[in-house]
Amino acid sequence: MSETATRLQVQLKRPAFELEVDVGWDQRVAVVFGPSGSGKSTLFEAILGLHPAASVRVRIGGLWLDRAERGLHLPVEQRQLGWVPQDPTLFPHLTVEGNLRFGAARARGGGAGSLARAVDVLEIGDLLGRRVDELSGGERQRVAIARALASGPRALLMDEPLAALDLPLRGRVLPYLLRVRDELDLPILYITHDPGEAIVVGEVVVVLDAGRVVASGPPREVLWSRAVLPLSELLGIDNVLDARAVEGAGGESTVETAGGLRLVIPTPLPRGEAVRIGLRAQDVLIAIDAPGRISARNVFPARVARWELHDGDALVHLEVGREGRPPERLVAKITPAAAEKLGLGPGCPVYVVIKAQAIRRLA
Amino acid sequence: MRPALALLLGVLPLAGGAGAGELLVGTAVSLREPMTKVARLYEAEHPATRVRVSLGASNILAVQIRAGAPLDVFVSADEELVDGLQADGLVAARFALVRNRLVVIEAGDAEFHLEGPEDLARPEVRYIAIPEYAVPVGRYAREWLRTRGLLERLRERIVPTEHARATLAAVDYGHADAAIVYATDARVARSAIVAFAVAEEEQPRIVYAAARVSSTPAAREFMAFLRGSTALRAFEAAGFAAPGPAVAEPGP
Amino acid sequence: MNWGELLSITALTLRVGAVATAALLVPSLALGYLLARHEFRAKSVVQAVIALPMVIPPVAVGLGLLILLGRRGPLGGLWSGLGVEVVFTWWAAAVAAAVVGFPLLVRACEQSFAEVDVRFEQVSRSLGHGPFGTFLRVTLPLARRGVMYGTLLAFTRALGEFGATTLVAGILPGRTETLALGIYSRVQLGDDMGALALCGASFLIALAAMLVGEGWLRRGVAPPGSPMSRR
Repeated sequence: MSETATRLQVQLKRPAFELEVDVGWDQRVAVVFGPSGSGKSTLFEAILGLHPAASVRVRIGGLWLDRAERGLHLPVEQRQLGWVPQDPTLFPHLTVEGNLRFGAARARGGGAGSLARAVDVLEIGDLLGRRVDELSGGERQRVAIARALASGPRALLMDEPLAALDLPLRGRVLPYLLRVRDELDLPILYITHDPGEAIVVGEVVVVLDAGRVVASGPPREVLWSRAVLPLSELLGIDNVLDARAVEGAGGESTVETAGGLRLVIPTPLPRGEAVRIGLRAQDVLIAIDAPGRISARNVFPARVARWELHDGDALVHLEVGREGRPPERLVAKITPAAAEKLGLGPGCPVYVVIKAQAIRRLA
Repeated sequence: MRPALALLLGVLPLAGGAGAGELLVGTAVSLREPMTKVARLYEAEHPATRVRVSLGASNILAVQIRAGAPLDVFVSADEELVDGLQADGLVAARFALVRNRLVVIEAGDAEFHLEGPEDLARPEVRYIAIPEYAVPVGRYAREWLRTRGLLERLRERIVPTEHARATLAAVDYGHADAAIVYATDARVARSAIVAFAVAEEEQPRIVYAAARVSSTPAAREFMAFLRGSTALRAFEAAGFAAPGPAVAEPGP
Repeated sequence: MNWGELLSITALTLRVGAVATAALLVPSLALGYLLARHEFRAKSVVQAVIALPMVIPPVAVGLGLLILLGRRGPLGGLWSGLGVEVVFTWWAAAVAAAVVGFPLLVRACEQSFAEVDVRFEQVSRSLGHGPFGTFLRVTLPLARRGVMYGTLLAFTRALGEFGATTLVAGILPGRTETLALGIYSRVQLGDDMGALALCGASFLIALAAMLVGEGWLRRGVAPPGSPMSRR
């Protein structure tokens, strides 16, 4: 492998967990994606130098931080990595300004410039005199990011900065993250388990599962690849289908899968465009009789292949499609009581009902 | 907080232990007042010497001497402790310093008055406080009662107390009608009064010993002073008695 | 017992306690931090040894110190050769007080440091502050209430120290006679009023110390929603 601008080689053995990562990329902004427990935060800690027992070789943005063969192993405090941990961990004994100055204290050139810039980009000038416990969740995250920036870092390491926030708040904080990404010319490593966030933020995505890299590359290609699909299911996208637009009108379009399944989706598409769409299992409804007049746009016949109990839910595996073509498979999640009441069994003919709004375009 | 700390540290005396011209006298706590007075009297006669009195239970003082603590003179309430130190070669010279005596006390507001030992058997005397047998004064008191043939007759009335202080308090606060204590203890009673003293010929041998631990001239000089009449007057003023003919030694 | 005597005994007691506590502070912080943050094989042995002065009889502690510091002891012999005598001085009282207060303060430090989330230290390191700077600027301020309370406990324990002190410092009126020793010797003599006056002084000091300590603890309630309170 020729040397890329950023290269992470980490080996760390724990009693119940092993992290083994070897990955590199040239892009500036990378997303580390994976389900919880996959080792994302541990990877960050290793990069920061917090795991002395780990075997680590790290180069970020063209600069080596750990290079065992040259005896290079920078102590944590000399790495100049702007770390925003998952918990904001603002120092509770300091004000907002105290936290920022704490970050700026060891910055190159005294940190006055980096501090002012951080306050400016994250728009936290009004919060400076506040105590940390007087901040809202979103403000905390902005201050934590500003503190990391104030330290004049050579790269930014953000660990799920939006995870602790509720949905509306994420929408308010995300623009600040994008500003940081776009206005500061810094290498960024960004951890998330949200595919949408990964697509919006990253130029490159590294997918981690059970301590290993299972895929890496451009987000839209990687996130819905077959290797990453099982992880996507963990994240709530249970059905992923490849399709092509056959007609578009108004704010929606109709797509058709290889198996001949036609679906209306709430996204305008030019005719012939290839898309990958995702659908959660609980958004798939099952009816025995053909529904009459109904608001849902997608109603089509299917056959039950089998159903099984999973975590107190009934997962119904369905086969859809036209005669003579390979069937499309869909999973529906209903209550076991409903499955019993409908008398579902292998081979049962049913109707599938899906609202157009429930279908997301993934790529 | 900080100025207070500075003040505390600012008044630290720089002196270490017993330096040149200092004499350290380990003293049984019960001799605090007379020994402090004796020390001042000695200093008045020997202006170059400072006498430091270190108080402690006699057995603790003996432990300190064994561990090499810099004591010059040891005044013990227990002769046997000095015997032990002497046997180990830790004591250069010794003599009997003073003697304590047993007295019988009664409540100050009692409706009767005890004239002699037989009166302890009178029916009005319901409780007699005496320290436990393990305490020296308790042992002495019981032996005296036995020689008088009273111990068995009074057994039902005896209230064992933990130490001399508690014995006094028992009478002072009305829990007991009479008690047997040292003459020196009786002097600090609040309301109890001395009914009578045990007769001289019946007194047990309760002797305080003075022992010289170091061999400095000042230590020798101080031992001589302790034997003198000036010191004896101070001890007598506190209720102690001269060691008596059998143990008395001539003054300087 | 006059006012002058009462005041000088009280001042001596406070001085002994203050010197003992001041001498304990740095070693206790270091040891407490070590125990809170590091796992090592002999850790439980170290913890047990530190706790010893708290569980063995104070008189035994005093005897040990007396043997160690006495003229025939290893340390005392060395010092006495240099003309420094510790036994029967107030320094000996401070040493005894420090030894019995040590377990209290180390324990308090250990617990207070253990309650500080390691994340704060890691963030501080990532922001360019070295281990020592991180300790001074992050760990210690976050643990300060527990450390201060522990210091106060060790101080009040030092004020009341009797068993070890009486052996190693003797009871020298005006020199080593602290409140606890003064109360003992006066009770022995039947000077109840003197003993009560000294008890009163002890009581007032202890009460003041505990009120200050409670005040520290009360102010120390972590605000809701802070990373501290979520633990």
